[in-house]
Amino acid sequence: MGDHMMMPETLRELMRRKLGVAGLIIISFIIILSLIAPIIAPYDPLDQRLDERLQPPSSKHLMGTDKLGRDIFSRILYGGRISLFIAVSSVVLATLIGMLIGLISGYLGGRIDDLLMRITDMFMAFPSLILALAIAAMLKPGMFNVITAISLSSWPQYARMARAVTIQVKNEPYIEAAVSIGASNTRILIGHIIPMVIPQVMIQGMINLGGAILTAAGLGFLGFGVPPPTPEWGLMVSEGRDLIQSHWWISTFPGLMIFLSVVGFNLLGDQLRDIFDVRYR
Amino acid sequence: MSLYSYILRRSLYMMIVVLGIATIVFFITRILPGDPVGAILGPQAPPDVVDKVRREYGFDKPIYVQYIDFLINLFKGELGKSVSTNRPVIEDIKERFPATFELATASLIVAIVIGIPMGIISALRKDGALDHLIRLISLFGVSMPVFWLGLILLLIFYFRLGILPGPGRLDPYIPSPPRITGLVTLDSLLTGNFDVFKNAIAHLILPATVLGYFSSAYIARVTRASVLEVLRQEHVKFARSKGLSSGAILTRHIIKPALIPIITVLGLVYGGLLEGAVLTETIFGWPGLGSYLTRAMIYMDYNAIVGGVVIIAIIYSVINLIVDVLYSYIDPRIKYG
Amino acid sequence: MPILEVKNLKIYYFTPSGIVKAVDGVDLYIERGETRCIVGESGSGKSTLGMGIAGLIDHPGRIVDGEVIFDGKIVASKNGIYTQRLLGRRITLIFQDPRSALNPVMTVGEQISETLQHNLGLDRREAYKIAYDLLRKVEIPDPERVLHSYPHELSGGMAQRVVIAIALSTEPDLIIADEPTSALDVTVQAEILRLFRSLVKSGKRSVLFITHDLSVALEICDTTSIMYAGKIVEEGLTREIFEKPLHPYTQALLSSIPRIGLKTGKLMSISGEPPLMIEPPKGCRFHPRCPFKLEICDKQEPILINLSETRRVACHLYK
Repeated sequence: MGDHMMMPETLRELMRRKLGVAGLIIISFIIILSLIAPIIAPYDPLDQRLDERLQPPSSKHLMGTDKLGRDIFSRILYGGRISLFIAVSSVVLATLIGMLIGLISGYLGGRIDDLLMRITDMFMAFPSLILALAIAAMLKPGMFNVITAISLSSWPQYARMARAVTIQVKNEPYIEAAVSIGASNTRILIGHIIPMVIPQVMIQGMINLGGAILTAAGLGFLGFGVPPPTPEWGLMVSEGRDLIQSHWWISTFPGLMIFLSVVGFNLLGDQLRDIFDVRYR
Repeated sequence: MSLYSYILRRSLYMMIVVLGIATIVFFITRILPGDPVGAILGPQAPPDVVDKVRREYGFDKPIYVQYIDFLINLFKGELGKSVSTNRPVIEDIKERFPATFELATASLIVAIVIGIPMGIISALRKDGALDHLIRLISLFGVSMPVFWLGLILLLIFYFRLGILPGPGRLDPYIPSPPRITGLVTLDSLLTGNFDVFKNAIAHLILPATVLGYFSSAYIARVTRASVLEVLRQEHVKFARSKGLSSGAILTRHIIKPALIPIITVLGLVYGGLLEGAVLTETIFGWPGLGSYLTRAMIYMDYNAIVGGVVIIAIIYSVINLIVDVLYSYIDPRIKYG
Repeated sequence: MPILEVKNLKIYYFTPSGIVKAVDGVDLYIERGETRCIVGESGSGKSTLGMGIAGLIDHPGRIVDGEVIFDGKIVASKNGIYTQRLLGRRITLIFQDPRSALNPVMTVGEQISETLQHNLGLDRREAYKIAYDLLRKVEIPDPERVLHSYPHELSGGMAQRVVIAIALSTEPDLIIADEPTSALDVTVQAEILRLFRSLVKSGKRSVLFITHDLSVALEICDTTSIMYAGKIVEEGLTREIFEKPLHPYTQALLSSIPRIGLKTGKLMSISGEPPLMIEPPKGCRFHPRCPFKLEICDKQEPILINLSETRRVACHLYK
């Protein structure tokens, strides 16, 4: 019946694995930094000080300044909030869209299922970054447009998953029993199917958070993410691109932060996958 | 079902899918706000010039007419003209495709050569120090932003150490070999220009390493899982009971069965390489599809965008089809259906 | 001189949950040409014994004490495993499930000639020719086709014949067969057993046949050792054991087999379950389930005593 893992149990299992703990630590560190950014950032991230431009890391500017004289360290702190927000939002949105489509497809079956699955296939016949890029490029630069672009390019896997679980549960004998005693569709969906779909999709979403950060950064780097002067890590890397030879710090630190956060999320995601894979086999 | 009918069925399906994608992208480009012609000509351009150019590209017609034109052209193999290069998109693509293909192939080779042995060693030494090290390296590979790694490596190996060449497929003063395949490496070999060949290879090293590292991490992961799965099976023990050397057991009884599932992953890997190309071609000054598409998007070059996207979709689908067919061909347990 | 001597062999598995004493002091002697059955329930350690003799015990298991002596030389002990040179040539194995024992991505022909090429130094052509003859010998009707087939294309019975062919191909001194018919259909089982018996009798080779089925033992084996909880509890000529089982466990095993044509005795089922080998019972390991338990049985372990030249029992009932 309701075989989904209990939160405390999962947490305990995670704690037992050193790598998972490491991942959690890294992520917590980054989250905390982002949250307290306004408190610890030494400068305003948008504050241009043209007389202090292009300075290497020093005691005054921990990570140096960029070509408009902005403190990179402060920008990185604020950038964390943006990257995290974009990544989490796009995963949430993608899982929601995917679940919706998957549920409908799996539950109704027939022609609707065929149609929806064809559409899903179409989206999957594509490297997702390029699709996200195409969508983001068409929309005006902006935070919510980036989130939309990433979600629209990543929902298919969740749709497939949701559909698979829906079909599996739908065919269980106890559902037939419920139908025979007159349970309405809504009741079955909400009471039985959705509780089985949500955990699986959620777990998969968490596993994919690292990838979402990378995609967001990629879009930012290419110039299709949040527009300047917002401090987004990917954008910051591209801002330092032409100056890399003489002013290495402008691109290096933001990229490093992207790397670290993705490592953290991937560590966590790997452990999650290990835990749930073995159980569900 | 025979192999041919399978390929036929898949190809048909693929065409429908590509058509669908092309349609989606087409309508996205047309519906969303933005004026490509205005973007190219700039805000200073006099309105009648803008109108003239717009008419020239057919952007003044109603959307549905544009769509029909687009479909007709698509079947003729034409993709319209690029607003920024003022050439047929198909020509642009033909010119730029080999560069990306060369890069993707080189990266794939790197990824396989590094990834598969790493995965095998990792599995054979499960939970040992080497296993953990390899898994860590793989984790890093999968977590690293490709564009950042490219920049850093360029910084270190070109700008600081100077041991590897900079952006571009060849050094600026070296002439390109005559264009036979469009692959600089192949063309220079075929025409006997060994210096050019060496230079081309040198230029490939950094970008191929960057892209290859990312993919190798993924391949190593999949290889490890596959080998572990095979090690659990009884035929390995039976092979040992035959007194075979560990080398023979490794190659014939462990690696060979383990390699087969890995092929299925190669399609995905290639897709990842295409994505990576988009991100790194600009950094390395690589004149391929990736940088073409990026530029097209910046300039809102509708036809180029749609054309580029369609081509990439076709390439990706074809690769996946090849991989599927290859897989069913190699695995004796599968018959198509 | 016996071809195989096992002296006080102990094989333990060191698992996170505890030490599993799968084989806990086993003595065994197999003469040339003798067919010996090891009979026991699952969990008795019989498979581990077979694998241990072959030197194929993997982590987390290992030999903790005792020796395996083949043709006069020590080939396995806690100090090292030296069976590598013998395996495939003088000692061959037959596994339970033929379709998982065979490599799924190599043809039958490749798998037979592989052992011939490696162990007998033949070249590919010669090996294939002999493979063909071998397939005839194991009564496979269409050897040419089977040579080029993959394991999944064969039925269970055919696949096992292939495995038997491989096991016989190098004319080994000892064949260790681990439940070779358990994974097959009942009708096919009889066929394979018949084939096996005829093939074995015709050579002067020894067989160590591991099974849970006493009736199979009666069909195949000259001598039988009954194994329980990591130890041999009774041993002797199969016929004699069948007609007059001494150890209570053997008696229980026998009477749980319905037999047509014989006086119907009481069908005795064995109560309880075989012990977990992490914490074997004190004293005689069978005492919790033994209907004839004596005072001494839970205190002192009975040792294997020679009742006659051909009979040994480990039970306090017999002194």
